[in-house]
Amino acid sequence: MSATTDTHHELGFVRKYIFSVDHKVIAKQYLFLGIAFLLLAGAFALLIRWQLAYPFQKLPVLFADSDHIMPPESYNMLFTMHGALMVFFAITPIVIGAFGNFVIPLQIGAGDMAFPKLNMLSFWTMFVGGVIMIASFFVPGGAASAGWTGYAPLSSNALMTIGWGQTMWILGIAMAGTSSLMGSINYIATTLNMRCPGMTLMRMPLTTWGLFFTSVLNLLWIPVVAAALFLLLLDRVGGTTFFLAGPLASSEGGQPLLYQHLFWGFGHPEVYILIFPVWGLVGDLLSVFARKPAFGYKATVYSMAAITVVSQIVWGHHMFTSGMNPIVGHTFVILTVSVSVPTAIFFLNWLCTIWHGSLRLDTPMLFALGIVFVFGIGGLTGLFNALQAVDLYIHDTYFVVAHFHYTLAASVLFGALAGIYYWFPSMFGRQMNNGLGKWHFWLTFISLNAVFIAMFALGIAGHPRRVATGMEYQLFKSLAGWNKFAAHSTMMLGAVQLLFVWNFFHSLVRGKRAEMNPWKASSLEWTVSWPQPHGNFETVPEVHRGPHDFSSPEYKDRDWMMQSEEVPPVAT
Amino acid sequence: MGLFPEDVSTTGHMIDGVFWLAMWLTGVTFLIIVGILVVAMVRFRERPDHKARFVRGDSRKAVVRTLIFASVVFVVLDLNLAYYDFKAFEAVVSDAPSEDEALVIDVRAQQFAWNFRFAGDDGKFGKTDKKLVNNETNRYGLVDEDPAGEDDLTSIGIIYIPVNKPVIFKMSSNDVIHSFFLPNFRIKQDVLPGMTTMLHIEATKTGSFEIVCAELCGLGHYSMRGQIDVVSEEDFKKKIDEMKAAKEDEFF
Repeated sequence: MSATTDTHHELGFVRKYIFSVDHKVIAKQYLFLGIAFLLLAGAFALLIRWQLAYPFQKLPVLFADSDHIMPPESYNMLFTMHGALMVFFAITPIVIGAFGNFVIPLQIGAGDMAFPKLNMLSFWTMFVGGVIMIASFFVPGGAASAGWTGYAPLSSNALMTIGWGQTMWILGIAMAGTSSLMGSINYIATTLNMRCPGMTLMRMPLTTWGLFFTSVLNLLWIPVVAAALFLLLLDRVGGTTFFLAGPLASSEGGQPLLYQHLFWGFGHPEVYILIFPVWGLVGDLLSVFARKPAFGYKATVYSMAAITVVSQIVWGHHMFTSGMNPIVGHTFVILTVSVSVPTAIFFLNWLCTIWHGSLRLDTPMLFALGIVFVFGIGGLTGLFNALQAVDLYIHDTYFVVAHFHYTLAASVLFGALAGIYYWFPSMFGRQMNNGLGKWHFWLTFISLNAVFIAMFALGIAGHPRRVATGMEYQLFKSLAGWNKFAAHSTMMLGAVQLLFVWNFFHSLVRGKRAEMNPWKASSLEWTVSWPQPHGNFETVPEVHRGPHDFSSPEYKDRDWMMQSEEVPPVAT
Repeated sequence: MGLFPEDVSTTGHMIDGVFWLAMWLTGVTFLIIVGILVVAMVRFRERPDHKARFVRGDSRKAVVRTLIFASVVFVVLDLNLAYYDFKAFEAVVSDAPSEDEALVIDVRAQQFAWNFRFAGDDGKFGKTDKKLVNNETNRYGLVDEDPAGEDDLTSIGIIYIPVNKPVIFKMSSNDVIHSFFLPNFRIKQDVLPGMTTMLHIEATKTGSFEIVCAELCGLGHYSMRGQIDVVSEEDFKKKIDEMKAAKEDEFF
């Protein structure tokens, strides 16, 4: 298959841009969907921080029914949907949907995905899920309000979360999950079966490796969360009591903790599902922009493989205070902290990659270096949460919120932005404005750290998460200043994203025409000139070396050689 | 850092201790990472006279060094922290006082309030039945026929406990999951419907301290505030007598 796929007949607009089977078009669809949800869920964050800084004070325009004051139930809806949309409809479509689709076939020299129609179905399934999620704001009772984790029985009992919103949330997340499941089957099949000649597994760029492990985890664990959601749906609309217990259950009842086990069984791998593509991308970017091979390429791949295994047996650290047997807890502590070993190897390899390099600090590189910083904080603070005794105090406080925002909001978002700046020339044939990109990076970096460091401070002081205001408690009254600081920093963070939005859309139509391989990378996606034809490669490429052989002493005129190039014999 | 709330428990310092150990270890690690990052960004910036070094980092030497590095991380960060964490957890949670020497309080959470029950003079709690639970009139679902329940004392929102005496909370919920969080005692425990979870503390100081609900429990979650008043042994007896008198007034 691959390069010889013949599609010379002209396709109509609908087949070409809407119901397309071309992985590159589907990638762009995912990208636009993801950016739209990123902006929407980001706007929710602004409202959340406003309410915490200025509890029950008037807002312009919004909440006209309640005298422009945000009711606590609306606050619950906002943080619930902020989390759910960010995880399943913003980050997933960008780093997995868009990057996965765009990059995997191009980087391994394939003509398209293994199952192009399934690929199309995957996008449209997620699209329908997104429509359901947005529609849920306009149904009686409003959107879901049980948190992005949707703990039962709050979420499963229709008396506790009134209206259709919670049911639509279940369906929307299930659609997103189905979409990811279809995508993961496609990614795995494509990676394993459609590599071009010479592209051994150990010659794949790290981004593709990351996406591969992401898909493995998705394939194994989405069915588990699907089961949880299905039981939740039955409890909610079918009168069953899988997760209902105590006085509200008419029978002996079920077990609320079962939902948590099923949810976190998926939920913890999910964080690696989201971070793997970014880790891979950071490895590739640091190498390209340091003009040096990725240090310890194989160690990086094996570390990712190790985390793929271990991440599946650590979910209990989300449940130390849940009522789970504390003896099980000790096991989860050891397993969880041991994740820091492969993670430390990542950091070692990243830092060794840039050491003695020749660093070009273009926008994608700044974001990649930024990830080393923010993931440093995110990863290291994970150790606190992994400890059962410390968790007695910090669990469900802002400390946890700050930690997972450093890993997901900071690291994965930076990865998404790095990837967009990096592949934009290949995706759209134009270059984004590098100067504006650097401004965007530094302002984002400063404001983002300000937001989440404030959250660490709140967490250390014991401020619980998911409260519409902490000011009901004497204990947290003194934290009003931190809440205001976080709110103002969030506003700045939101405002500077306008730089990105402008840069993105302006460059889309007016950006400087990109030259071929503008970053002087060596992986295969940069051998195809824009616009890439359906089928990608005119002739099947043949690969002769790994993805990052930069600055090899064998090369004479330049410091890189495409993976598909043969080194010319040295003229004597 | 002066952010931590005042610690008034016998065990809170152990949790703070593990926290600060983790803070030191991760803080130093982070400074090393950032130090290398910044030095590399300055020292190895692209310059015309400078060329990157061609190192793949897959030599035998590099692999051995990586493995040594990984072992150091595992011992210094992971095992080290896990060990002290284990010790602290044993002391704070596992070494529970016996129910004979401790004051046992039956906590019942409901949207959006904390209920408390003492066993009364007989030291026995009256039987409860979940079918009888009514959030207005019978929050515990007390069975009328059980004599052990007659002298049970209940309160809502506020609880008195004596200082320097172990207290065991046995908790369950009437509706959704709540979490019983005592920031001043550095401890929390989720409270679930249909099962009993436990938590024990010993206060070292008198005063008024707050109970925070730390698990999202619905629209009034933010206002589910409770209060623990730690009082001297004598004041505690007085409070119990007041509660008994109030109960009798109510009865007649």
